[in-house]
Amino acid sequence: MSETTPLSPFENEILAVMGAPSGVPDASTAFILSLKDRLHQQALQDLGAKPVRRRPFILQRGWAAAVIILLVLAVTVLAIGPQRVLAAVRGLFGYIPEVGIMQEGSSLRVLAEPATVERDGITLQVTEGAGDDLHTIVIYQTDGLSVATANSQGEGAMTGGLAMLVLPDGSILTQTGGKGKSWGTGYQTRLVFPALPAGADEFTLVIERLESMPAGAAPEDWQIPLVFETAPPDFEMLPVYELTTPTETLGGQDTALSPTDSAGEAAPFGIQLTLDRVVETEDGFQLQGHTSWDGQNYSLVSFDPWLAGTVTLSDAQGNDIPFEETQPDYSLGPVSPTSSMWALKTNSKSYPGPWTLVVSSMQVNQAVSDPSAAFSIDFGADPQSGQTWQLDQRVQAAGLTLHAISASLREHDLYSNAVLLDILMENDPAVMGIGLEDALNQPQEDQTAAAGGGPGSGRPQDLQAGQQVTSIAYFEMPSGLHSLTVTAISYLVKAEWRASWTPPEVSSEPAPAGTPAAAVSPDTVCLTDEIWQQLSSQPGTLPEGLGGRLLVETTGYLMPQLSLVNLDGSNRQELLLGGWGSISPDGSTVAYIESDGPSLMLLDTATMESRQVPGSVTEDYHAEWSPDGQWLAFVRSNDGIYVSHPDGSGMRQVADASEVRFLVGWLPDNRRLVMTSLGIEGSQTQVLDVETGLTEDMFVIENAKGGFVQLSPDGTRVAFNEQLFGVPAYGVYIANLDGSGKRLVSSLSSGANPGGWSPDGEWLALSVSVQETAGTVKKSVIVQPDTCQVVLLPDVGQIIAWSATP
Amino acid sequence: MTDRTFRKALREKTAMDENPDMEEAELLDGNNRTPEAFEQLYLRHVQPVFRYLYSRLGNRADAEDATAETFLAALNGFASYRHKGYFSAWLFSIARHKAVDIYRKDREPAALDDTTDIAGDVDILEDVIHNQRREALTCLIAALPEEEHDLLRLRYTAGLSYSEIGQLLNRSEGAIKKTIYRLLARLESQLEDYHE
Repeated sequence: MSETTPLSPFENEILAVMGAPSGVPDASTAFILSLKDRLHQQALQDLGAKPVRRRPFILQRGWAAAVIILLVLAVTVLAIGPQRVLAAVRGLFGYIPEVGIMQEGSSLRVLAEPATVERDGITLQVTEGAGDDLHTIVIYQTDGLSVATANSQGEGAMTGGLAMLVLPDGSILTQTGGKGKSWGTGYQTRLVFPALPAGADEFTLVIERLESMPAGAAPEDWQIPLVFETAPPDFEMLPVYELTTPTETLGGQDTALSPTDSAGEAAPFGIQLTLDRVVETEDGFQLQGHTSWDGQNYSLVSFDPWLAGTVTLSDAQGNDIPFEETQPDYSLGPVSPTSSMWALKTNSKSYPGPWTLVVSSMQVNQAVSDPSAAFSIDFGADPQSGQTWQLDQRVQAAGLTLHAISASLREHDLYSNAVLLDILMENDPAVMGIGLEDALNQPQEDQTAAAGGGPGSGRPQDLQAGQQVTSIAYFEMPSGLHSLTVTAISYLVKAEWRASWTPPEVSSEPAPAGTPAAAVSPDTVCLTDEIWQQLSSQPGTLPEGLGGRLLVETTGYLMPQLSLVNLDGSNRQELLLGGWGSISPDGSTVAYIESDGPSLMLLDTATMESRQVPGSVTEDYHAEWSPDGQWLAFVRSNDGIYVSHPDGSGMRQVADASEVRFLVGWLPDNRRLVMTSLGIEGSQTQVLDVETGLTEDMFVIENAKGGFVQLSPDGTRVAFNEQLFGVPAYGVYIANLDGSGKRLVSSLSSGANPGGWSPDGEWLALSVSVQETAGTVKKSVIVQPDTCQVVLLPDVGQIIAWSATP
Repeated sequence: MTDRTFRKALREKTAMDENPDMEEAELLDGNNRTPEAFEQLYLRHVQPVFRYLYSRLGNRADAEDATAETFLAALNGFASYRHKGYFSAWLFSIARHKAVDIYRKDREPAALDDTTDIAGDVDILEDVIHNQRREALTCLIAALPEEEHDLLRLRYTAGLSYSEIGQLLNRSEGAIKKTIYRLLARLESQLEDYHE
């Protein structure tokens, strides 16, 4: 905002909710620099200007090397033939885990030894590095950061700064990309720089400000001297396979083809899918390729791997190979206005080849210049806000039918003269959106930009399936006969773009633990999408003798509504609005927190009277009762884990805030706590003896949010969440406390969370996310992991705890 | 390297990046449509565009995608762009359309590998709601009609001036000011009613 008038107090409140710096996060430095580099490359093609003057020598040398490599590839193909090129080009690039794709051979240099700098208790260590003729990679990690300091200027404050390599002669290589992971008290970042000049093996990594820190909150201007050396002859790299086989494309076999289906063209709709290379990683393969299209027809073409049915990857036996989308290596290209890169990764190498990748749907954006693609509407002489016109008009655009059902005017009090025309449409199912223009809609004197129409920015209300709203903003109330012209359209096209690749033979290996693929027997996963579909929509019958009292929460205004209810849904007792509910072993007391409350609270479930835990403060939350009911363990925000008697006596810190910790619960001895602590690998489960302070590491959960762990009453097993590979959802796993015996219990693609064990430890309650018309709702099921019996519960709410019936 | 060399290099690098003397009009001069000029504009506007798109789309992945598509589209039209008023108005008109074009499926909270924002991760420790008034205001804003909500995004999330918003939405600066003032007054009144 450029106005000089200071904001009012209420405007500052608005800012706190939705504005910078506290309401909305900033783009990360790594993203900004990565996009800058991409735009720069694109701009060189579009605008034809020379590269940035300040580092011409570095850029020219790197790209010259790339050109030479491509020429070598071309000559190799001509001399050897395409079938044998695969082996011939394999030796040019290799993959270094964590570092990425690098050139093999004499140009490869690697970090001679790690380098560490410590300042004010913060450690910065450069752990890996490599450089070739194309780029330089430096990986560093930090530890000893303070979460409180990271948030000291609000969660949306600008953090981090640029990284650069400074050479002895003073010249600078600026970071061009980066990606990292964090765990609260530390982070790891992979930095990308241009290629180092020949002979520049000693240089300084300069980091203006640590990634997670706002300005002035921590030591800045870090300088770390680094030394690179030529990679030894026996330096091992995983292979990268550059492919030259053209992509095969097929038309659909469905006889009821829509105009958007193709039939056997080499590049249907002018779109080509190319698999450029396959990178062998430690635990799988990365398939990298690009989509290219005819720029005369489309402005953009893309496919969404997460869209059901769009992309499949299968092995020689037709089994689905799980995959996830990942970031391609943009430095290897191609980059052009009519292509986009993509990359997929697998977590296994054991599927027999050939592998077949099939993309069956692409979204295309296309300009429309057909004057007949227009709707007409006669507003009459004196139209009014709220007035509706029945149109029932059909036009064709890009071979698709657009059906305008009706249109209504909406004069919003937001703008004194603004008028919005909402057109209700029911288009060909392949249409994702359209652009509309009214040539008679001209700006007035004080209006400088052209209005236009497109998919309504408002949320559609009461739309039926297949309907959508497109809106046009008018400079003034229209009147008379108008023509609404379709100027752009976005739609799905269907064909079968197919690519194949045969992986090298590898020794058979067990499928990754918990992978929901054909390699794992369905019997080992108790709750799958198929099983969920088979469950009756009505609650199931509880096994005889199985009961208990549930502490549940349902959505409240600011905080959840806590309630007690029997397992069969009977005898519901509404408690209060509160968060982080935890019920005492005898069922008499519920610990909770209030919105903006002063401390931990305790509710007597018989008298419904609440009291504060003396000595507790507003930062305290998530209390867990010891099995004998004599202790509460709880989290104090930014200050670790505490224990206290319910009357506040004996309150003390038992784990500090040097790591981001999540409390799980007490072991039966009433002396040891189970917790998780974030680290570079994920959430480390630990057992803490509150008397001695000794901590024992158990196993690591691959989860950046503590794992949502539920401890069985006998303390021998845990249930937790880990991301399912190839599915954007959490799976539920169980394991022994030491991590042994891990198995997948729920692989629902909509996600599920563990909600608590039964008192006898035989059953596990799960909260399942279900997509309904009104949105996502939570359903509860109980699962017996040992038998895989699954029972749908009544709509009791989200289960927090399961105790014996008092 | 010596400390003197380092500090000299840092000063030169900062000077090259900031380029404070190049006004927007110069950057958009028809004879200066260069990659460097576009880069300057990009660096000036990427954060407000990202924040605005994040506010609309609700997650970092979609916001990054939409931000990238916005600037790629802007670059595509940069050579023929006719500068009249505010570059930000043109840029945000693209961003608003890109926000609508994003149809990606929402992802679950990221696995450890993809997390780059430590502040976002730490936020999960703050499930405790401390500010009842702030939460009530959040609910009131979320319940606004989309046009009003978007107006607040443009003003307070993206940080656009009344003039810039006016050009973007085809309204005079005065009309935008009046509308926002009325909206704020209504929100403040509703907030006070809630607390009564």
